[in-house]
Amino acid sequence: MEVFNIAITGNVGAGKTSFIKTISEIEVVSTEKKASDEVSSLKQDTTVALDFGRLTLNKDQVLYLYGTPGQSRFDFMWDIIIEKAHAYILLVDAHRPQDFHSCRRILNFMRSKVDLPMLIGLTHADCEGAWQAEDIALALGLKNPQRRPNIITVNASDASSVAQSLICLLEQLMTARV
Amino acid sequence: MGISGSLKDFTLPEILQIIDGGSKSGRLLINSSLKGKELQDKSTNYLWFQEGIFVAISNPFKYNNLLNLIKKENLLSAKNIVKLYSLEKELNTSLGSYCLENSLLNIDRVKQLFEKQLEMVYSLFQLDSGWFVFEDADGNNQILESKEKFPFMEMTGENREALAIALQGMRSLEKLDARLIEQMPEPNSGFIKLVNRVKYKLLPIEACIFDDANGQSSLKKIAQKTLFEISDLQEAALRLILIGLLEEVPIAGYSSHSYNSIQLDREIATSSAKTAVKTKAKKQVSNSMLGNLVSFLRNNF
Repeated sequence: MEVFNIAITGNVGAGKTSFIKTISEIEVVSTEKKASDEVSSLKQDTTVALDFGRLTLNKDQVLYLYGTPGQSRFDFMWDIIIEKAHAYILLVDAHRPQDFHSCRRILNFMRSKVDLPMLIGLTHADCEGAWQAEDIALALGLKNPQRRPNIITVNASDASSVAQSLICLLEQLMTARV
Repeated sequence: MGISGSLKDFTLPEILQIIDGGSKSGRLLINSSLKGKELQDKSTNYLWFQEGIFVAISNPFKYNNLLNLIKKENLLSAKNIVKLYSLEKELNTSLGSYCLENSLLNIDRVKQLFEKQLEMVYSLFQLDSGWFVFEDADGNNQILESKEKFPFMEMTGENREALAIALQGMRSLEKLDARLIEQMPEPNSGFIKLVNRVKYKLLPIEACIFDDANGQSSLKKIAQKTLFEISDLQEAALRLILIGLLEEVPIAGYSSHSYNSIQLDREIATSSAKTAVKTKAKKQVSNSMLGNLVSFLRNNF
């Protein structure tokens, strides 16, 4: 079985659980639930603190989506998820500037750990008080437009929007291979 | 509407970093009132920027601040002051430039006035609550929403980069507030440079940290080498981080969690290290997998 793992990271409330639930074919395993078979391959004999979703393409290929733990500290679960991930999406709630600090911290943490294809998904971008993508990029410390990851708006509750963000990430990966 | 938020969430250096990074033109409203960002009162200050560079400070409830300053400093005769007051509507250059062109003030006096304006800006670094709103200006130096023009009567014609102000403003703080303390780098953290060259004159303690920002030297190590106090190094490093010169990175050998402000106990750190060793290298996914996945997502959602 060929498995493609995508980590969905971001601040608490950014829409990680919704993102995974919206597109997963199985019920999403949420915090402090007993591990399912797939999740227990990550960490055996314990409860887990992450969201997990799945999309089966065919009998030989499957996509797994892992949400990083909700708490702000980077514990061993982060290391495990990062180790498995082939790519990741950082979700940023565009209308909660108070969260940009921790998003920047997450981004720097991820970049210091791995060099993976990634994109930034802006959620709640249509809400009042939402910052523009350019300003959010600057708040995340991404000063150089030429060296920024892709930044797109995502509605984490809308399946086509979530699918579109995944396609964007995958196409980035495919382009990098050409 | 441009960027806005609470000063509890964003420090002034961070806001200045965004203004600098985006080369923004417009005015930054800083309001220490806790009533709400829509309300403006005497505590409201406007900081004016042209392409990321600070040019003036004004207050919507106090007019002719610069002229009052000239008066207070006894830089001009009463007759000339009266003449300048009457200029307000017709002035199409900065007041400082007008005074220079008409030999009313020399350049040193104008610089002195600008330094006084900067002191007002530095005093705003002490605010740890209130609101900020950045209102963008168009190419004609007119605020997009309110259509207000840049306040020539409050402008000396001098300017200062937003990040230079951020650095000096941070240095001027006698004591860091809780927001800044929370952002202080850990003693075990190292740093990487985000720029090759520093445009500003660094203090010796700042220069030591910048020179050792190789991703390997922790603040503890720098403290041992230089004999600077670790707390002073943390503060200096924070300044360099907040003006975008350095980024804090965890040093290999320390748990990733040392990167975070919350302490991780040794047991989890050890478990983390073991997990990392045990984990197998991940398999590359095939091109067919990626292609199938894109098709699947396109066809099913």
